Amino acid sequence: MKNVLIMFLAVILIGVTAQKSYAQLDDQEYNYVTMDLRGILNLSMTTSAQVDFTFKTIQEYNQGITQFNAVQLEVDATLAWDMYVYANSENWVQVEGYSTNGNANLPAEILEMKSSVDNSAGAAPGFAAFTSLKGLTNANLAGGRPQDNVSTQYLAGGYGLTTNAGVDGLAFAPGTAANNPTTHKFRIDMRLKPGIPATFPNSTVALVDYPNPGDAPYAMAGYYYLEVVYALIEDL
Amino acid sequence: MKLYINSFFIFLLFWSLGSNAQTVSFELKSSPNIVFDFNTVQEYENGIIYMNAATLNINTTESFDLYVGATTTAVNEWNVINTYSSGGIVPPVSLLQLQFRNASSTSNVSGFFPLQDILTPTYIIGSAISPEPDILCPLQGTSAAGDYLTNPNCYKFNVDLKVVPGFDYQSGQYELRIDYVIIQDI
Repeated sequence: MKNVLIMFLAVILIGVTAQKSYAQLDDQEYNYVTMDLRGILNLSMTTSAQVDFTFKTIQEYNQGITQFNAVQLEVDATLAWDMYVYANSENWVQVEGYSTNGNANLPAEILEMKSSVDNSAGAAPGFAAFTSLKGLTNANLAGGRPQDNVSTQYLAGGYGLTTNAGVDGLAFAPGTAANNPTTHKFRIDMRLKPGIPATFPNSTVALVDYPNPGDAPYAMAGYYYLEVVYALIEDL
Repeated sequence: MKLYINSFFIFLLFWSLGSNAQTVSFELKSSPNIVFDFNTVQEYENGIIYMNAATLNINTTESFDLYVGATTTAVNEWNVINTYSSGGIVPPVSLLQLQFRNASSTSNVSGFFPLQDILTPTYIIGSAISPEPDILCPLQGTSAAGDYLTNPNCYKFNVDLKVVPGFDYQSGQYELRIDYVIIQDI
């Protein structure tokens, strides 16, 4: 009987302890989440793609014509970025000549441009003031990409990899045009000043002996066009 | 006779051990893999929201705590699968925001909140202090025993996920794991 009583107490003791000795219950569930942040560069031209200069008075030849806000560009970027500009040929393309004298080979550099966005922090030459736009060879591009920080003209950033986008001058920081109008919206003024005779004195490439010795040092009256390329690239 | 008595006590012993079935668990949950794919500037700016990314059905016979946190290789940073650019920084796990919803709004945290590492989790129900007094359904912070079939308004959570990256982070592919943990409050 004593054994039975001891066993009974043992069972009660084990029962009580057993309830106390449960491990803390738990359960877990998981979500596996992946995030793909794609690199995006959007360049939008909000003005007409064509800018016309028509010189039909002596005054216009002498004073030149300036097209303010001729081109407006907006940049949306999720990466640090640069933007450069160049003429897609050496010379203006003559569609029609109105006379037989004068030089039909007008260098791209007779077109002057000025940007509303300050890129003076960049090491590359910019467009803080009216500046001749470089032709294809002078811009020193290989496969459309800049090769140095001197030849290519940058509207934003410069040649070389940024270490501090928006500060070190080598790239502009990611962002949208709507939220960053002072750095991501460009208003480009364009100017042509032929002079009389039409030697385009502001051009960094003179018409004298251009492209061959003995060529007329002034422009032939005619209808010309030039293609200007704005290139937005990831800072590399 | 002694054999019968011993058998009875052995039965009593097993009964005493097995008669308290306790559960604290998720049931019939849906927790798919989630992919946030940002390929427009608008998505970067405004973000992407996944409603009902996970459903947590709770069945518990005990008081419970519920918490959530991220598991990653480097604490508080998304795991990098690959990168598309050299600029920017690796996003923190707090870039991912969560929202726990049910009909009685029993979550301790209302609205979206940033995810934190599992080492410093966010308590949806209860807190790190244990044990705590039971809070009964349908009050905020309901932590008493119950189940989603009887009271889905308190024991069923729909989880929404949101990411608004902005423009500070390095382009690339990232991943992390969200851990939802329900634990007995003792």
